[in-house]
Amino acid sequence: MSWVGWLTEAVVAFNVFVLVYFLVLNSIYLWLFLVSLVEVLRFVRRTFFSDYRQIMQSEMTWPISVLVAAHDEEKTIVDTVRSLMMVNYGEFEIIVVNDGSTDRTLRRLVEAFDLRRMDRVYKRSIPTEAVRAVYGSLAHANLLVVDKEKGGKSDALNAGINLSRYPLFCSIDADSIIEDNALLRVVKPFMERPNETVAAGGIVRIVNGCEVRDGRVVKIELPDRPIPIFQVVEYLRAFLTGRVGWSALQSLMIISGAFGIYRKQEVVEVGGYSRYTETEDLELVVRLHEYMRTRKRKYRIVFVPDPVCWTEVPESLKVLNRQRNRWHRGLVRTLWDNKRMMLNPRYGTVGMFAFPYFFFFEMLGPFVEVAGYVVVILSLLLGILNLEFFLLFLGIAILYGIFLSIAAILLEEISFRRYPGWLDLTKLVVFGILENFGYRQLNALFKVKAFWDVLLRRRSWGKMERSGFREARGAAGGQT
Amino acid sequence: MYAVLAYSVLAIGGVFLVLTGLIVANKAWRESRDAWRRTRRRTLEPAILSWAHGDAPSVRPSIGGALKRRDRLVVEGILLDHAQRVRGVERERLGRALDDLGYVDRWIRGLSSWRWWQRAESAEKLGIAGAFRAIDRLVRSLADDVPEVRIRAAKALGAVGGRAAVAPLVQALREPNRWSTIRIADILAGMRHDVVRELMDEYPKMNRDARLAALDILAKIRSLEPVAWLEERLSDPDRDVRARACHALGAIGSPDSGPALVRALEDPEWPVRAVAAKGIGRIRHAAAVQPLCAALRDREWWVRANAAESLRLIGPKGIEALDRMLDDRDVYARHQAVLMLQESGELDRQVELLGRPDGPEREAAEFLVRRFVRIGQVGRLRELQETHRDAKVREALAALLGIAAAPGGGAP
Repeated sequence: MSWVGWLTEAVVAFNVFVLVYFLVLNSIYLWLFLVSLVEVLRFVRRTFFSDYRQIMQSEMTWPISVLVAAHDEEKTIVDTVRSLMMVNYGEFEIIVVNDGSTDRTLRRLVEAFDLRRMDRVYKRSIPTEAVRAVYGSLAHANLLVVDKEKGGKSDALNAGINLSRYPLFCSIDADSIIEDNALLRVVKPFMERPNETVAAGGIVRIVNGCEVRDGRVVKIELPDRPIPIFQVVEYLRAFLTGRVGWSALQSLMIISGAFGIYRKQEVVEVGGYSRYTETEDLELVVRLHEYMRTRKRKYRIVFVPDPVCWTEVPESLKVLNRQRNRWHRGLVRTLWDNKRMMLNPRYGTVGMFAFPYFFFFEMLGPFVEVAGYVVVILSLLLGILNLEFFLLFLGIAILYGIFLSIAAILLEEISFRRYPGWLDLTKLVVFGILENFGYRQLNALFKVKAFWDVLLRRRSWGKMERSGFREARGAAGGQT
Repeated sequence: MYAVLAYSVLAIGGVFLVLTGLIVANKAWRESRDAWRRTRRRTLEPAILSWAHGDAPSVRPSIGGALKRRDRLVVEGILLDHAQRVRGVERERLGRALDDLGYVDRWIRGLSSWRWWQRAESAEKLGIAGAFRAIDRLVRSLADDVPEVRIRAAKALGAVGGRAAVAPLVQALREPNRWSTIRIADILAGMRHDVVRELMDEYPKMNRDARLAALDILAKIRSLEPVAWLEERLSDPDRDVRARACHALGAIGSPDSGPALVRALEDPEWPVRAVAAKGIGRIRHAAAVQPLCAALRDREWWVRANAAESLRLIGPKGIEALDRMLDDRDVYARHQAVLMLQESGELDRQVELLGRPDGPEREAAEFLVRRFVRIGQVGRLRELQETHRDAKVREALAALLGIAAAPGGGAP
């Protein structure tokens, strides 16, 4: 057989593979959507009876240490801490860890909250870079600021864990804002099943475009630029039809670093956050699964779809590329480090279902997608492209992508309805369609590049350029 | 194959269109319904409120005679909203209106619905309406299969039942679901003194979780009645019971329970010692200064931290004790004393005195600073040496710290 013949055979075989891959992947998506639909509706029913005020006033509500890792966050750190101080919760402490900032992060905190140095001795349950100083405030007894040598976000969070006093801790990104009742909502699983719940995460929404006043989101609107709007649709899909479904299947592999609550004891037992990964949130959750399953302890890691954390997302392709590159490198690394879990019945649904899904579809999916485009071009050059088949397949792929986005928007619309305006809804639907024409493919390319970087052992955090929150008119500063 | 693909395209495209249609229809329907209800509410609310403030026997004339089907939810919303905001006669009238218009009967029937959320909602509304005649039915709902329904029923009983609801609610503390137990405990705590005797009487028959919840309720109610009974619980074999009893004694704040809490500082289990140390601070038991100083040497951080905080709360005697503990042989005790003297602002107050002319106050301040220096806890002192607004203080601190005085200072 000539090389053209071999190539043709290979292309046909690849086509069959892609078809099967596509069918399996989209069946999983559909299944996750249906599971999520049931879960979200059930959740909304339950939320109607929440009594958050009573939970807050109850002395039986578990106290929480809120950890904020900050590196060069002078633009938003004071707003973030102020918003945390206004959170509706009974007993909590805020620990801001200044991770070797080179800007005025620490100075701004000291000035804003009248901080003074405390000679605090603590147990280093998890090794970290040196802590230079600990600051407290007489006016804000529940605020602690830790100044330490730079060691990365994981190291900063570990330092926060060491200094925390309470049995639960909540990690929050320094550029994030959590809603007033977010802690009350996310702590509920711990109170319902205190012996089993080891971690819980909430939904992360995009603050770009929203108006913020005194550290609170006062007006919810979609961003003006297309890239953040694409991410709004993406986040809705990931959280409402992804994590809700995985959580219901007891296989949640990630709790967003922007907002999650953990039981300190188990996190200390597993050695805290890993410093050797780009996605410490994913890595910690996978390690918790591994640890609890290995020791045959009854546990659960849950996603609560309502507690909202608002965060800033990249507004340019360049920054988006860096972010997605880092996320994908982190995924590859975490899956590699925990490869023993793959298809291992010892790890239950996580090992038999979630792990293979993340490996074959989340990690390798971008390769298959990009390879598919290459094969199409190759087939065209070889003259073996069946145009009718190709167009039909492409049509299904795109329509299915649109269906998933629209389904996520529907879930949002029948449950939480955070974007109330008709214009916002129209924008969401339009961008849910448009993201399949370029944005999705671009993301696949970013991820393929990330895989390449892993092979070349390139590591960088990828700086997130922040514009700061859009202040509501009349608010101090009035910056945009 | 092509036919399958073509049908798939059509099917997915169809589903997409249906979903989009659903989103639009759902939003349009919801918004128009809400707008209509707002308009009706604006019309009906003043008349209903005017009736509630007055003394006319029936609400019906205010809503134009018989309750129209289309107004049912609007009127219900108005009556329930206001019933939650007002007290006394007005609330009673609103409750009566809900009964008169047939809502209470409907909700009692709703307690038997096959949908759990309807049962829960009915229970909730019966509570808001203060529907006394629903008590028996609500008590039965305490045994519902769904925790949310049990919690709503308990809440409703707490709102309407008075003493009649205490016994079933105390029984309901035996709940298998921890969340429900917590919520029922909060409801019982809200019923205040009515439940104290019942809790103590029922305690021996309770399971462990219910016992712990009962102790927490007594802590929240803060009645003096169970103090002696709680002291007896300090010898319970279960450490959590002992810890909760300590917490309750501290929360109640009776000075008489000081000696019992001091004894609990010797408990073999650290959670009990930690809560006992905290309790002593809450009752400001000055006689416990020495035992608290001993607790500063405890192996467990929480015991040390709570003991230090309690010494601060006791006042000048406690602060003096913390001051003395700076010379203690135990390094943990010294560190805890350092931290508490800083957190209480005592160190800063003493440093201020360094700016004064020579005298006993300044000597005492220098003595304190020297001891901080000796034990190596100088972070705050260095900061003050660099930033204090008074040059004399900065110079004095520099001398005590053995460093050159900062030239500027005064601003952080």
